[in-house]
Amino acid sequence: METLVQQLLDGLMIGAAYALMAVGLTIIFGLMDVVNFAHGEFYMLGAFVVFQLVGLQGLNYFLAVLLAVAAVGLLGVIVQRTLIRRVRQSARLNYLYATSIVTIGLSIFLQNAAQLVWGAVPKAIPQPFPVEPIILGSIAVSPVRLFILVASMLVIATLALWLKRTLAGRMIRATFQDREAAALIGLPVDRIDALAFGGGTMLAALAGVLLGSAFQVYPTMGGLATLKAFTVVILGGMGSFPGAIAGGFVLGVSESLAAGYLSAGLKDAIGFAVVIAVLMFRPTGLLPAVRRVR
Amino acid sequence: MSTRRRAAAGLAISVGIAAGLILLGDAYLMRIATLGAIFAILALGLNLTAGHLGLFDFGYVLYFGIGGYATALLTLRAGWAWEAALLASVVISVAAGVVVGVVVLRLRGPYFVIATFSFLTVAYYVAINWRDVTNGSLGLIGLPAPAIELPFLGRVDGFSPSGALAIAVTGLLVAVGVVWRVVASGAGRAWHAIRDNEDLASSVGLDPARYAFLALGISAGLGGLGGSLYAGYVGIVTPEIFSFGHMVNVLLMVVIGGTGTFLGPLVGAFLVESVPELLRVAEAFRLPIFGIMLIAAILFAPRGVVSLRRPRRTRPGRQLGSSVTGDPS
Repeated sequence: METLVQQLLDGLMIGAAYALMAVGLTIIFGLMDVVNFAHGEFYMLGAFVVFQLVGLQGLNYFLAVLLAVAAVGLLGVIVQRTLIRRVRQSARLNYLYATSIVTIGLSIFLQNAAQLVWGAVPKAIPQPFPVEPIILGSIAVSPVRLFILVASMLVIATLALWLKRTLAGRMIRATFQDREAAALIGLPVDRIDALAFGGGTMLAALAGVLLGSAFQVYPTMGGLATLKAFTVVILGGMGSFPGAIAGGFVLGVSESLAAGYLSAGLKDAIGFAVVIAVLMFRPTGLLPAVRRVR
Repeated sequence: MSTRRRAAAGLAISVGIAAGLILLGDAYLMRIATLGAIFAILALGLNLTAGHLGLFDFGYVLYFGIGGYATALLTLRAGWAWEAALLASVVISVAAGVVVGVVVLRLRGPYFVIATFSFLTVAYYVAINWRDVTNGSLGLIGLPAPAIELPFLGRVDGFSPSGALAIAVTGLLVAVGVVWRVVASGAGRAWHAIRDNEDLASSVGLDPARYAFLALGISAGLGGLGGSLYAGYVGIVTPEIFSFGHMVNVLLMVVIGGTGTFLGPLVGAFLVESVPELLRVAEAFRLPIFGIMLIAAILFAPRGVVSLRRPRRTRPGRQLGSSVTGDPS
């Protein structure tokens, strides 16, 4: 029983970070129809910038997290302004094909650039959290994992509130529902794209910082992360925010249970088996988006 | 020059270069040419779906890996002759393409991209974890070198660099023949019609699903052929055969050569195999340069190097699902 609760807690912690990534991917996909193959590399960059600032420069951890997320978000905006927008404006390119290839190229570039800068050896981010686990009855929770869970939930809740209440949030939701209609009523869809791509990459970076604090940081960590984000998004229903959040927790918990009760090697395969099952029997995902599929 | 004559000229030139290399006897150049020929088969296969039909199969090297593993298992475990294993690998790959198609062909656009990519990843993890069959990450080692009877050349042994090149080029010629036939046939015209406007194509009675299965099946078969040749050439099959690195390589060949053109993937394959060799001095920067090349190619030469010299024509506005480059040739 204790093991089960322990596994569930671990799953929730990882699931929260998956949800963060998947929400970021959903914003980018839902708004811009871009399948962002470089999502995991923004995740990796977030973790490495924090490692650089805290581990090498000795900055305060929480300040470094904020700086890293902002820096990666800025990079995302630059990518949208220079690359993605160019593809959208070009009539000679198939948008889906060209954006996929641009993000694949970007992911190879960022991954190898990180390897040149920081080397291939896995790094650990020094953290301010105590090492001793918090004991609740017979369950042990490490403070850093608790922080991951709480921080992810807080950010997702804030984002949901922001999307619901603010003018920018309403503009994003309008563009999300129908891009042409949004442009027609005069919304600056191009600037909304930049906001969405920057915001999406910030969420990826934050997920990278959080999981990188609990595990290790290395240049190729983004590859698997991109896959996980895709998995979650298919699982929840592409273009659906509640689906992305639910899918993150479902994947995190099922991986954790699979690692505990089946085998650790199968942990990474289980998500993809679930994805193929979902695609076969329920291609719209668990919580499909109401948005018109184009 | 017509497309056909250009293609024939290109082929003649590449066969001539291959023959010249054998005469030169430079084992290093022959190795590059052999890999170029094998990957050209894959580039042709990917171009069938991505270029001619507009279905962006980002998990295409799945069939490369299936062909490789099928060949390795049939020769090592079942003791089959290499030729029989090669044919069986192609058949198995086609079957795999049809099975995958049942799932992915119901999906469109980005959903198709993500689903095909997921299949490739599942295969990678299955290959690592299904140790009884695949021997895990260590892979299957010691495949017998291929050997076949060829017209004019007699019995060719894959152990020698020139023999391996002859076998790879033979495979490439078969692939070129197949692609040439189907693209010029009614099926090829149907693919282009579906790629350019699926609704219009089905309104005149073309069945997109049927033609998509055909394209996926043939491209899977070519992938299996390439994988089988590759496995025989390098003599070892590991889960890395399913890696996204191979996918990027093949994609780069198609993009750089010219998506949806006939000659492009062939030119692209030999370019991508040889240019990194020239970049050997900058070994550490090789992969980052690859990434930049991919972005630059799609932004600045979206129709590939084979059409660089032609003047650009103005095209009507983009629409989702329209042709990759706007050029229906």
